[in-house]
Parts: sequence; C-alpha cells; structure tokens
Amino acid sequence: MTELISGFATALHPINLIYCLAGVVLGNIVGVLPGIGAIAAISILLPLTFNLEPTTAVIMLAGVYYGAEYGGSIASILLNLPGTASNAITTLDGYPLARRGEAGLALLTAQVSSFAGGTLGIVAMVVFSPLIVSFSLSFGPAEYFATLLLGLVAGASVIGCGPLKGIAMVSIGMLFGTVGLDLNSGLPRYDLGIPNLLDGLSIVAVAMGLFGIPEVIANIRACQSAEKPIAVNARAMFSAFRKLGVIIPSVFRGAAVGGTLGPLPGAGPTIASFLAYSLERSTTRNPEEFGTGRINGVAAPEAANNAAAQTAFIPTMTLGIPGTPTMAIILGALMIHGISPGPQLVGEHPDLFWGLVASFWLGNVFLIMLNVPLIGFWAKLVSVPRRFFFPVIIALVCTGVFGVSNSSFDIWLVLGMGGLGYIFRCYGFPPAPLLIGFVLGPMVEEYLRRALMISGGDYTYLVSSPTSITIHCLTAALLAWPCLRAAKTRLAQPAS
Amino acid sequence: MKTLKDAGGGLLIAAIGLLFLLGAREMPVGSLRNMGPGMVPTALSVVAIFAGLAIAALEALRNAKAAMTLDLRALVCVGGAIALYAVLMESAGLLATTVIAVFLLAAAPQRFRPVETLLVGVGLSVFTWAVFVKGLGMPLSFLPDLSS
Repeated sequence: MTELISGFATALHPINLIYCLAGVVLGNIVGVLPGIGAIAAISILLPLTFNLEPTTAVIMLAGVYYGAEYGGSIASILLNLPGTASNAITTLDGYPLARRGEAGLALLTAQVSSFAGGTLGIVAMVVFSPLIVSFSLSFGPAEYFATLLLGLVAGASVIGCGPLKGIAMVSIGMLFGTVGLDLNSGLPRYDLGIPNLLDGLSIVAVAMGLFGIPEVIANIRACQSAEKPIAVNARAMFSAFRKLGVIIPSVFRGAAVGGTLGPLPGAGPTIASFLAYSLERSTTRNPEEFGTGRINGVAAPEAANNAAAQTAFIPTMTLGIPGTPTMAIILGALMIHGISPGPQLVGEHPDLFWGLVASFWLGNVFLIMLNVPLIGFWAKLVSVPRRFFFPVIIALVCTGVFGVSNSSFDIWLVLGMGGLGYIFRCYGFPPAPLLIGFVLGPMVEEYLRRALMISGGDYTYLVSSPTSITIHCLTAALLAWPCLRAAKTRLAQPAS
Repeated sequence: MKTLKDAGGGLLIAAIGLLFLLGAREMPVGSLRNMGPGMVPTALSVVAIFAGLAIAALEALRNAKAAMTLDLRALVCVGGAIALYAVLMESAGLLATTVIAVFLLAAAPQRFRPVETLLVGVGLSVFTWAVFVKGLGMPLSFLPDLSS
C-alpha cells in the first residue's frame, strides 16, 4: 500500500502529470480517428520521448495506448466505424442507439464503462503484480527461457492467421533481431559493413515501418470524403446519467472477462471485447434485442477492452513478456532508456512501476473528465477528412525516426520495413508476430545460451525445475490448441 | 503465373530466410552444446525457409487468393515520399523536403488539390521544425543549407 501511495506521489509530479495528460489526449485523438491505431501512434511518439525520464516516457506512451480505447468508442457510436479494432463490437449496439437519437446515452455508457473497466483492471494489476513478482524472482536462465518461449509461441498463435504463418512471421522477426553485435562472442552479425547495423535494427524504425506505413499505403486512396457523423452535445450526455443503473452488472462481467484475458499473451483487448459481448448476450433472457441498440451491449465490451488494456501491463512489467505488439513497443521503450525488463524491474525501479500504475488511474480520470463535457469537440474531430492525416503521419515518421541516431539510415530502414509490411499485409500475414519475435528473439537466444553455459551444454537443465516444466507444458498446450480446434470443427461438419 | 501469385507470400518468407542463411555462412556455428554466434541465425533461417515453402505449397494447392490486391500507385507515392525524406532532408532542409513529399503523397488519390496541398506542406514543415528542431534540438535546418 505504501508503494502505491509513493506511486501517486511520482505520478502527481507536475512533469509526469503533464505528459500523462498529453499521452491520453493524443491517444483519445488517435482513437477517435478511424484508421490510425495506437501501435502506429506509439511508435511515432517513441522518438519524442528519448529526452524524457524513463518513468515520464512510459507514462506518456501508456496513456496513448489506453486513451485510444476511450476515443475509439466515439467513432464507433457516431460514425459506425470503429476507431480501433477493439471498439469494433461497440458499433453493433452503439450505432443503432445513436441513430435512434440516443447518442448521448450510448456515449456516456461507453465512457463510464471504460472508466469502470479501466479502474477494475488497475485494481487487478495492483493486487496480482506483486504476487507474480515474488514468484518469479527465483527465476534462473532456464525459467526465463521457458517464459520467453511461451511469449513467442503465444505471439505466433495470433488468432485468425493459422499457426504456420505465425511461426513464419516470428522466425523472420527473430532473424531481424539477430542483426548487430552478438552479445556472447562480440562478433558482428549481418552488419553488411554498415556501421549503423552494428547496434542492431532500431525498434522504432521496425515498428513504424510495419504498423504505420502499410496503414497509410492501404488507406491513402480509399478515403474520398468523410461520412457525416451523428450530432451530439454535452447536455445530452449529462441528462443520461440517471439511466445508467442497468449497466452495472454488465460492466462487472465485461471487466472480469477483459481483466482475465488482458495479461494472456496473444489475446488482448480486441478478443476481450468480442468475448464480453457474447457473454452478455448469453446471460440475458432476450438475446435478440442485442444489435438493435441495447446499452448493455455497449457497456460490456467497453469495460472489457479497457480492463484488458490495463491488465496487459502485468506480464509486460512483471515478467518482461509482452502479450501484444503494443506492449512489445512499450518494452522496447524501456530498453532504449536502459531499463532491462524482467521480474527485477519492480524491485529495482519501484518508482517507475508504481508511478505508472498510479498514472493509469489519473489518466482514466483525465479521459472521462475530457470526454464527457467536450464531446461536441470530439464529434467534430470525427468528421475531419482523413486525407489530411497521411502527410502528417509520413512527416512525423520520417523526421522522428531520423532523430533516433541523427542519420538518414533509419529512414531507409522504415522504407524497407514499410514496403515489406505492406506486401505481407496484402498476402494476409499479420505483422504482430514479427514484432514480438523481433523484441523477444534476442532475449530468448541470450537466456538459452546463458543456461547452456551454466550447465556446460546439458539440455536437461532447461527442464530441471517444476516451474520451467509447467511453463513448457503451457507452451505445448498453446501449440496443440489450434490443431485440436481444427480437428474438432472438422469432426463437427463431416458432411461438407 | 497465377499459382506464383497465390504462393507469393510464402515464397517471400522463404526468400528472406534464404538471404539470412547465406549471410550466416561466415559466422562460426559452434556445436549444440557450445553455440557460436551463427547457430541461432542458421536455425531460424532454416525454420523460415521450411515454413515459407510449406505456406506457399498450401496456398497454391488451395488456390488461396491474396487478401488484398497490391496498390502499386499508392505504394510508389508513399515509398517515394519516404525516400525523398531520406535523400533530401539533411541537405535541402525541412521546408523544401516536406512540401515536395506532401505533393508526392497528394498524387496518390484520384482528385488533386494543389492549393490545399501547398498549405498542408508549408504548415506541416513549420510544425515539424518547431517540434523536432526547436523542441528536441535535432540537427536539421528549415531552409536549404547553402554553406556546405
């Protein structure tokens, strides 16, 4: 408890407070604008945080992430276009409500549920993080290797692309990660005689190239004119407060689903919001009302995605294992600031960890205070033509990435990664496993080689403790799961 | 040709794996008990090649279509704008680079709006100059650097 209080002291420091506010406002804007995701926004902002204190930098980047979950619901409700992927399900009931003239009620439900879900997610983080840390402090290289392998496999098994594509993308990402000096031997790998490559590929350039550029290429010709969003003002939202009683159970169910799925590698807010919605439908007596504008159908997924956005930080901060690509970038930001992720992080940098947790809640308070009274402004922002954003993104990416090492080399790297990412996208290869492999790959190799050095080349050392055996079993289960599911669906439909 | 298009994604993966495998030839591989710097890259390259070929074979058999058709015009415009930044920014300054890049980007959509594009270009160059050069102290100039 004392740690949390000192965390609030850190988060309430004026500089941290300003950057927290800046982060959530930017995240909200990114969320409101369909087409730009939090991943692209965070990688673009990453160079801007190089001069900041690490705590301040992570507070701001995290703010962009969960801020986007708030803003995303606004576009979903007013425009029927999800601001981010995890708000897609909100359109099902949010847009019909808005069409019916109850946009204020739908928006208020989304905002209040987001706040409640986020808060419950933060509570889960406060309770469970210290437990995981105290458990994982005894980890040796073998357990680390096992945990990182689990993270890689989870990253590869992103739902919707098949395990083979996931494995291919993770291995390409890990190969990109091997570029640079080999830590054990000091020999350069794949440096091609270029000095810039000795430090490895910059995560900023890889993330921007993979997530930002393909988005621009894919959308730059598609956006003709913005659709007209449904009008709304703050008074409509304030008058809807008394109708909110019915959503309380939905919010708790949604937050429970989201909070549980958030820390699981490969799951994340999007899957959480879909599951929360289907759970909500199955708990009611008249499921056919869903999709016609029920506020419970807005409340549950919005509580779920915000709870998941917060609990996703648990494995990232306590184990150093990112479950989603956004968390991989946050982890990369920590490493750029010279902070090595892992169970020792919370103990070595308590101000960073608890300051971040406290800033989450302050950020959530900022978001709801901004979004309810200023809804008229956000609704206008929804209608800004999207063609204005593309030059801004390209300019920020190119100038930003130049600043990583003050050389044009990284701009060329963005170009290469962007082109590659776009072609992958055209063939339906997801970029997320590549980035997770890129971040985790070097760590996996280092712990594997360290473990073998300790044991003198004895591979049984890797499975010598109950912890590492358990984790390897989980990994195996995760690998077997898609095969089992495929077999089950094939058995279920023998006629076709 | 049609089959090649279906299998393109898998073949691309295999090709990247092959490039990394060729690059790993000069690194000492060591042994499984005492790994050299070349062990992990070699192993990963082999995994990527096999996974890529397997995907290519499956997609070709299934006649899977690419998820999206490649938009060459958008790719060239966006890629060209990024290349412009890489080539020009240090010597020509932010104003000229940004304006030219914004015009190149504006050539991607069907309708071309010259006045709006010029305004966006100038405004954007002032914004990036204020943030990155004045704010973050990046060694870039606004106007072309004529001294060097």
